[in-house]
Amino acid sequence: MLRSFILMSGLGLFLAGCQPVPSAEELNQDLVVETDYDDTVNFNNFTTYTLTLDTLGLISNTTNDTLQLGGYARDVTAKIKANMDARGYTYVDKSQNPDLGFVAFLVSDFSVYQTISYPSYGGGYYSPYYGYYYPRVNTYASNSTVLILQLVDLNTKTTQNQFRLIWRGFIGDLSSSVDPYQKSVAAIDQAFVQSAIIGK
Amino acid sequence: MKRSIFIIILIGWVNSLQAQYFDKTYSLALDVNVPLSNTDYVNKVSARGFKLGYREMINEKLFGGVDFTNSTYTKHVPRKTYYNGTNALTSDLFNYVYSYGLTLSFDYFFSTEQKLMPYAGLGVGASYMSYQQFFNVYSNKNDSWGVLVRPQGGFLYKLKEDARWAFLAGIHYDYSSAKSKDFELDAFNNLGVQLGVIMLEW
Repeated sequence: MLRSFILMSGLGLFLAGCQPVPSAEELNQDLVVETDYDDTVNFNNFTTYTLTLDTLGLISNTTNDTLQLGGYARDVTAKIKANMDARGYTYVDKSQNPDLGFVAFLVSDFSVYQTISYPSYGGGYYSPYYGYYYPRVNTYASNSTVLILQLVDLNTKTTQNQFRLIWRGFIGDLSSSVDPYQKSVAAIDQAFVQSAIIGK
Repeated sequence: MKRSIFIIILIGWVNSLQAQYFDKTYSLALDVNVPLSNTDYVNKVSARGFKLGYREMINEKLFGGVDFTNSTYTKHVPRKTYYNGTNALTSDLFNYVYSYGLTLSFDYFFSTEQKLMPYAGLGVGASYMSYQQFFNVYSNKNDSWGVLVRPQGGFLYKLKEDARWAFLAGIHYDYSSAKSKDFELDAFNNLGVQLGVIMLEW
């Protein structure tokens, strides 16, 4: 009796205690801000930049739209412009041959995937005692959204005939975080704070 | 006459009890651990660990068997910026270490037929450590295996001398050679206290 109790209690403790993880509420309080830059570039050499105001690019597997408009796009681009202006660059229209191009876009991914398992003893599909084991289907869904910032040198093209990427920033995850609208706008400031290289 | 027979039977029963030695034990204990190394990575007391143990008698005072243990160590690092060359990352971090141990263990009991049974022992076996770091929806993971050495001591306490179960209280020190290259962590040491129950079988 006591042995059964010990074994069952042990199993319960094992299931309850073996791999606890932080709660989603704890994890998603703040967004992750990651930046990187090309250290062969002298950011002092640039004077002007351009940016599509009030519009963000959109790459999503749930909609055919390629642009994100509205208040969020307006706030994000305004925050980028404020930071670029503060670093000494001058905003110009893209028809005025700017040195730098600032690109901001959202990448949203919604994924559903399934696993199929056959609960059985000894790996067999058919049990002579219990008949066929029916497959168990587990369905998982995940949704993630990242705000991507890119700064390109419009005076230099790569061998693939693309403008040279000299700085980038990732801000995520906007899908699961608490108050992603305000926090992602504020995170743009952080992307610049941790990128002291940007500036004249 | 009846009273004499009853006393004779009672004495015989008590004598047979005194002659009984438990030869197997099953134990379950809550295992509370404090990390002693890598405290920059994890520093909180692990209160959700446990130990499952099994022993068989080798001789009257020496028992051998296996222990399976599990504990989880954590630390929350507040939001800050980490620089690595041209790369910078700002986040708060939740550092976790999931520790599993399976040891061949031997315990020497200084006395076995009393209510209080102190013991000292040693366990040697395998250690599996899963080092994980959570930040927002992202995570890093690095698993490693190593050798686990666990000197331990404590006592069993029976409420009655002929009880088939006892309370268990013990203390142990663990050395695990399971390092993490990715997180640049050294061998893992911890000090633990175990409180639980043990079944005595004969």
